[in-house]
Amino acid sequence: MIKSIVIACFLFLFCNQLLADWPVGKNRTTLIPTYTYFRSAKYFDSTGKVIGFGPGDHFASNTFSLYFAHGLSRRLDLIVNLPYTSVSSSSNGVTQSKAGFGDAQIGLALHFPLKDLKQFITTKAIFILPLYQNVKEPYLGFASKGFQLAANYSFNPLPHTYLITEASYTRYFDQVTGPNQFGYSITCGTMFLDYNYISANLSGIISSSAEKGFNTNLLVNKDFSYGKISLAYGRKIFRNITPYIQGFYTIYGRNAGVGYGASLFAIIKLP
Amino acid sequence: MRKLLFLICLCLSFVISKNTYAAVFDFHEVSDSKNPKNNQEPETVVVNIIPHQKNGLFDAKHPVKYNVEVFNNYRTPQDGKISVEVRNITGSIVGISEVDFNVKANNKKMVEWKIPVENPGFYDIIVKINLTEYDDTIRNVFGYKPFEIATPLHKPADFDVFWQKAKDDLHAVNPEYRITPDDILSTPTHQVYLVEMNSLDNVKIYGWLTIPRAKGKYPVLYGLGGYKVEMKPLFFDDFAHFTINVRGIGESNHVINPDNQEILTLHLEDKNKYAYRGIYMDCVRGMDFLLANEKMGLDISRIGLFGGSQGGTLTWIVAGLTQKAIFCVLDNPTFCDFHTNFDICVNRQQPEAGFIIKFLKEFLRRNGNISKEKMLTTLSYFEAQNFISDVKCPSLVGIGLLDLMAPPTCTLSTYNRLNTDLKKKSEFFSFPDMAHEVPMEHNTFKSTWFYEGAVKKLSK
Repeated sequence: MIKSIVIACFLFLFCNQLLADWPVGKNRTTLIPTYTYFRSAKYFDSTGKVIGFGPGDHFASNTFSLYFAHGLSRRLDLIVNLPYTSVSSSSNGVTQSKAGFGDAQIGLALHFPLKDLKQFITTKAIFILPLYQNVKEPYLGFASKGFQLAANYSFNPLPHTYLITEASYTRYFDQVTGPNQFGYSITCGTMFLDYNYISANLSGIISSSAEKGFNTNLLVNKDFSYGKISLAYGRKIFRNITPYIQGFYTIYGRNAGVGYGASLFAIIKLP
Repeated sequence: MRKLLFLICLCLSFVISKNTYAAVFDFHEVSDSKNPKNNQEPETVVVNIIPHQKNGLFDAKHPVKYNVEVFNNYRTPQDGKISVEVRNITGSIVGISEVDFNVKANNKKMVEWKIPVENPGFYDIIVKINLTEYDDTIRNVFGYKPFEIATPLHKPADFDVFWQKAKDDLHAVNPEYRITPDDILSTPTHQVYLVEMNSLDNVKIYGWLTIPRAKGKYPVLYGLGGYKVEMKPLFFDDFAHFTINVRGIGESNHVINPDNQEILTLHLEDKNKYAYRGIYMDCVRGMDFLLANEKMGLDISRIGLFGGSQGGTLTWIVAGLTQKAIFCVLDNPTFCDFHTNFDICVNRQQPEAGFIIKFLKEFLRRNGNISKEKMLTTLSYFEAQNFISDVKCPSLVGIGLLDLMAPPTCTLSTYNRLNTDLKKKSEFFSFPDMAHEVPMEHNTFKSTWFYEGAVKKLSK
């Protein structure tokens, strides 16, 4: 699930660019280095009931990622995300840890401007490439190639305010058990006072697979669903650098971890 | 006998005119259907003329075609005629086509006209509709092979010497920049400065500099103003903004123009005293100010120019005279080609012919000893098309095709003189339903250009 959360964060970050410079712009680049911490000591069972892991058991991850978007044209952006993840999974008193590159993502975002260039429909096609192999536990993910198709609609309901609604479909295709994932995301953000930004996000994923089992290593679960809320605050400190702090928490789920986390990231616009 | 001759002449002229014009346009009915707006009050007829090319620009691959759409909201049929008349820029008729027309009660009908024109240029298309209970005349403008338009160039032999002397005179004046923070106009996100400086002939001018408070070195958008428009600070998140109020605006008007004459013709009798020699130099002084104040957080290798109307012209003038800008974003630039502008507007009775030619005609009337040719010779030192070969940065140009203050012919002729490489990097947009304005979407698009333009730095 952490992978899903990472993906959701990635989408969330991507959406944040809307506020000032979106689409990225021809020959312009946006970089978003991110650190995310996630911890879970409970889980939603197959009926959605919250149950604690065993005494002392938990799942935790630290993820560093670099998101890169470059405007190939006015409407077409190249997007790349490269995560490096360290996971720690403790089950029945046995703790296992592993670190390495996770699922890299590379794709294209195509923007369709609507009314007066102030509303956009954006479609995305992203290829998922695992940069690891599942040889020794704990695994860093499905170790499966995949693709994601997503579309969002964004607009400014009020001055200095934006709203984005997004739907996505992700398919991992190296194994017959997939999974297939459907995602949604609603983000609303605004600027207040002098270059302070705040945004709220509600997002979720429904992941379905013939592989129904639950593992305390949340990265390898395939059949689950969850929803989470997040709140982010940022402040522009330099012409082209806006650091953010973000907190998130899972609010519902099935066969998924109950967890909280925090991210630190910065949106860097070049030049 | 004389009556007979008159009748023969009349018949001949009718036949000739019929042959000349009837063959020019091809007309056919496209649709005849129930009016979706039927039974609306008040009863009326609504006529729309729609160019097949959305931007009103045609070429050999896209022949000139127009749809005329007639909505009849009357509860009675409307019978009569529709005529389509095409005129060139000086008002001469290129062709006329008239057809019988009828539309049933509460119906709409659309007819299509093909209009064969051969010569590159802009043309007026005038649709006259005379029906049982409704008459109307609608004017639209289209361009044919607009990127081949080239009006005669009237560049004086000493043009470069004239402007080099002006720049030398300007640079002999100590600018004495005075930069004062303005706490009233400043905001939590932007610091605004009042900037005062001395320009040509020691005339004191002022402008506004706005810099975002977040630290960093900001690309600059230098905004240039329309005719007698007092410029105010603008606020951009990712750019510093600077604008100059040239002589004739604010206190400087009392100094240079105590009789408060029309600035367009102030001292027009002498090119060395003409107000616009000073106005152009004021804009150059504004660029001097930016280049001298990098330490305020300005990225002087990335200065973009923008403006509309006279401000549009000034972007090209400043770009040509300083060669320190990385892009020009301009709408409906006036003063591109005074000669052609005069020819286009001088015989038009329409009020929209605008103030430029009106004021020039008044100037000629007041100064009987100055011929039109002499006046235009002086103005040729000040028209944008003579500066355009010195512009070294790409341009985004937007124009309204109905504009008589900045006629499309003059703008295109100037734009077409950008060098080939620059034209590839430049973009041109036209709006057939607009006069001296551009639509909101284009205004939003300009910000795209600001960001794209600021990617590159000025090459040294």
